[in-house]
Amino acid sequence: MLKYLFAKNEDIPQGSAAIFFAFSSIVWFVVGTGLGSFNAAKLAFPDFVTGSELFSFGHMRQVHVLAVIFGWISMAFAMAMMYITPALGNTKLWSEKLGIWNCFLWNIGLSLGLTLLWAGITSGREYSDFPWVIDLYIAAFIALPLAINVWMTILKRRTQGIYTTNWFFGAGVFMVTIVFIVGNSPEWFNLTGLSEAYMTWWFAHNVLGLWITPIAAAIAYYTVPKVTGNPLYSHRIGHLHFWSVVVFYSTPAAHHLMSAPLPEWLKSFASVEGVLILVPAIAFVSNLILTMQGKWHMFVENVEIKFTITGVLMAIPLNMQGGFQQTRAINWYVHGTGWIVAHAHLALLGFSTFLEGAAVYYGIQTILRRKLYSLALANFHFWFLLIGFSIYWISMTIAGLIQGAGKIYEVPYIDVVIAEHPYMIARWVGGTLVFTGNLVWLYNMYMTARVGTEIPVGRLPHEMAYER
Amino acid sequence: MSDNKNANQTPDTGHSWDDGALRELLNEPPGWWKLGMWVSLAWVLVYFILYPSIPLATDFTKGVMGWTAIKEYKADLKEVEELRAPYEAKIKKMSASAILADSELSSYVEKSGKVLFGDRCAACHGSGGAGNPGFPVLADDDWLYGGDINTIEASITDGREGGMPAFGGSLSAQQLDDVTQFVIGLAQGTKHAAGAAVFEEQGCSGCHGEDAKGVTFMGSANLTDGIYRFTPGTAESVKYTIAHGVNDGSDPETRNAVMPSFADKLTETEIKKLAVYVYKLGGGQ
Ligand code: HEC
Ligand code: HEC
Ligand code: HEM
Repeated sequence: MLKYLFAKNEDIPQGSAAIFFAFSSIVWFVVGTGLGSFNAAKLAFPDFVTGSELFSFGHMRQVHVLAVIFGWISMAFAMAMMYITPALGNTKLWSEKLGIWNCFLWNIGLSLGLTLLWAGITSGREYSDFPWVIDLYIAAFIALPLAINVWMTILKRRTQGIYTTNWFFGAGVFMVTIVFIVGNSPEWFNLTGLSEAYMTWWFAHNVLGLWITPIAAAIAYYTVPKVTGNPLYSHRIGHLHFWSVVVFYSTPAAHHLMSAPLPEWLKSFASVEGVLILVPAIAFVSNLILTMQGKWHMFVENVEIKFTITGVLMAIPLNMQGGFQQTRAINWYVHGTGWIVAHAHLALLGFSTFLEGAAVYYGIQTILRRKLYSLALANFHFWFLLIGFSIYWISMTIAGLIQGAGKIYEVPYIDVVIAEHPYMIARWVGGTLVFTGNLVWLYNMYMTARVGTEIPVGRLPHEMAYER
Repeated sequence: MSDNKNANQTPDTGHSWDDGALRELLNEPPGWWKLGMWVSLAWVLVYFILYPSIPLATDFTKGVMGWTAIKEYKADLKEVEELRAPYEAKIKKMSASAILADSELSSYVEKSGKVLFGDRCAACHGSGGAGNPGFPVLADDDWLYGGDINTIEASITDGREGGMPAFGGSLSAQQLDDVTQFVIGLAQGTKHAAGAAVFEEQGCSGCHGEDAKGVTFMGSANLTDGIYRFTPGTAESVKYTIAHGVNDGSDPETRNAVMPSFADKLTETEIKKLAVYVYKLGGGQ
């Protein structure tokens, strides 16, 4: 990477930025899930690594959360944008060099930010935990260059019209920049109390709703038609999905604070919009499921489709949960319990991770024009992720219901801790499976880059998956 | 295009991307989905009419039901308080021992005592008073300070902090072993003459009593019943207690035994409830 930082833009091979982002994201995924597994071990075995402030849960939790969101998920997004946006425009990335710098500064900034968090230097607000210097850095050196590169590539496209995926990419990079600047306003304006709480969740909600969810969906809009060869089922549904996310999704932020003394109308508003989001979510799922017509055998045979469709199907339980758990009638029971942690992992480790996984698998093969090193290892990765995640989700959901019951029926806290202990251990087991799968993935992708069979011009990687 | 790719031969938008690999068809959304959308929108309308929801310039629409979360909460709370009021009024005026004597009140108190105990005491004393290493079991009938209702109430109100000096410095290794064997033997019914002598000379009996059965006013443990305050009750752990003492500030490895005072953390009524609850756990003395 370093040698390209000061090379001329024309001398940098096409797709280099995407490749650097791809491998960075995988490494952050390994690191992030390793930290997750470590934290889970701490909650399952209270005597595991004690006596050091740095390794206490309070220091390590944020490092995990932000490493997976801004390292794994967001860098995989950047990787997808760097190769899908130009491909859709029949053109090149606007500036490879900007892309390379973007990736370089991203890794530096993220490492710095996480180190500060690890040392306990934090704004103290969940998800926007980074201190303000890092927030500014992210807006200026991570989000903005990405936005410029994506926008310029879209503007310089050589096609008529803009494909659904690129609407989402273009809007997403713009919205995440705004979310970063506005969402950190408690920091700039010293907001405290309820305003601070509201802005904290406005940020957290919109990082999920205007960045992670739509970009993950956008990736699926590309992968499924591209790999199956089918045209996208409906342009109209794509439109409906896009506009309802952009228009409605920023308003439900208050549904994270249903038991806080926010104005009553705001909570109603948020709650109603939160239920309404089911409509576009189901539209998205049906659009892709209908695109799969006649190609369902690929769900079994093809790695990218296997990942993508699994992720897409997870959007159904995810949005059902999301829509209803935030209504007043249900929220009082599950709020502040492991149920929510299970939901967060269904969104990020389930739905979104599977979609990005597919993009990274596919992107590395197409850009390097090398066939996957081992299909068996890729399947191993898939199953470890799926089984590990399922164990995680089921155990945390049960633990959450126990905690909810404990909360409502005034069961002594210590009894709840004892009752949920087995599920905490199960969560750790599940998370460790995910981590193990990721180590295998890193190896598989490294070997693909090194020794994968070359893909001849005019062929696509997935067509050759079963050729020796 | 093979039929496989576009079964219904729907036209596309006329645009294509990625060197012709991607197209978008002009299919309409499925009918069931459209129905779902209209039903959802109708539901939103109804909800907005019923509940507080739409912001106005300085106020907001209150909804025709006049519902708010805080109103509902206050109504629920009032209902519970009304149910409890007659009992609470009586408890306030009565002493713990009088509550205990009244069977209706004491079973009422036991229930709220359980919740209080879970929140305030179980972290140390274990769930249901089952004890934890270093924290005495409350669910048996062996007491350091005494198990009558007034003493239990005093333990909770004022806290307790038993004190025993560390003997590690003043006893020889032999003496330490002997007295340990003597203490262990007390519960097993075996005798140890050399140890008994040490017990006498070193003033152990001054605190634990001639019969080593403990003295409740200072909380010196009963050494003869085989129930150990500091678990496990092995020779090793008994020896540790003797060598390092309890709450002896001069020995950094001393055993800690501090029962915090709850006088200003709980109300008098709450303490009475807890005293009755704890008393009943141990079966009463
Ligand atoms: C910080 C830990 C801690 C908490 C919390 C705590 N205790 Fe204690 N408690 C102790 C210790 C330690 C002792 C033993 C004191 C000693 O050995 O001198 C004790 C002793 C007692 C005793 C005397 C036992 C005897 O054998 O005479 C009673 C009764 C008691 N606790 C009740 C309670 C109740 C009721 C609560 C809740 C309101 C409570 N404790 C909360 C640590 C605690
Ligand atoms: C100043 C009074 C005092 C003296 C002297 C004293 N003890 Fe103790 N000892 C106590 C008290 C008080 C406790 C209970 C501490 C507590 O639970 O907070 C205790 C606890 C113990 C225990 C722990 C009992 C258990 O159930 O785990 C042993 C064993 C013991 N003493 C042995 C001895 C021996 C042997 C000596 C003489 C070498 C001795 N003590 C001298 C006051 C004394
Ligand atoms: C090895 C797999 C993983 C394990 C073991 C794991 C474990 C954990 C643990 C223990 C917590 C703290 C939960 C609590 O406070 O009770 C947590 C929080 C979180 N993790 Fe993970 N995690 C894993 C993977 C991931 C992945 C892949 C993502 C996202 C891509 C993710 C996103 C999050 C988020 C967003 C939170 C905060 C949840 C909340 O605020 O309630 N985790 N994780």
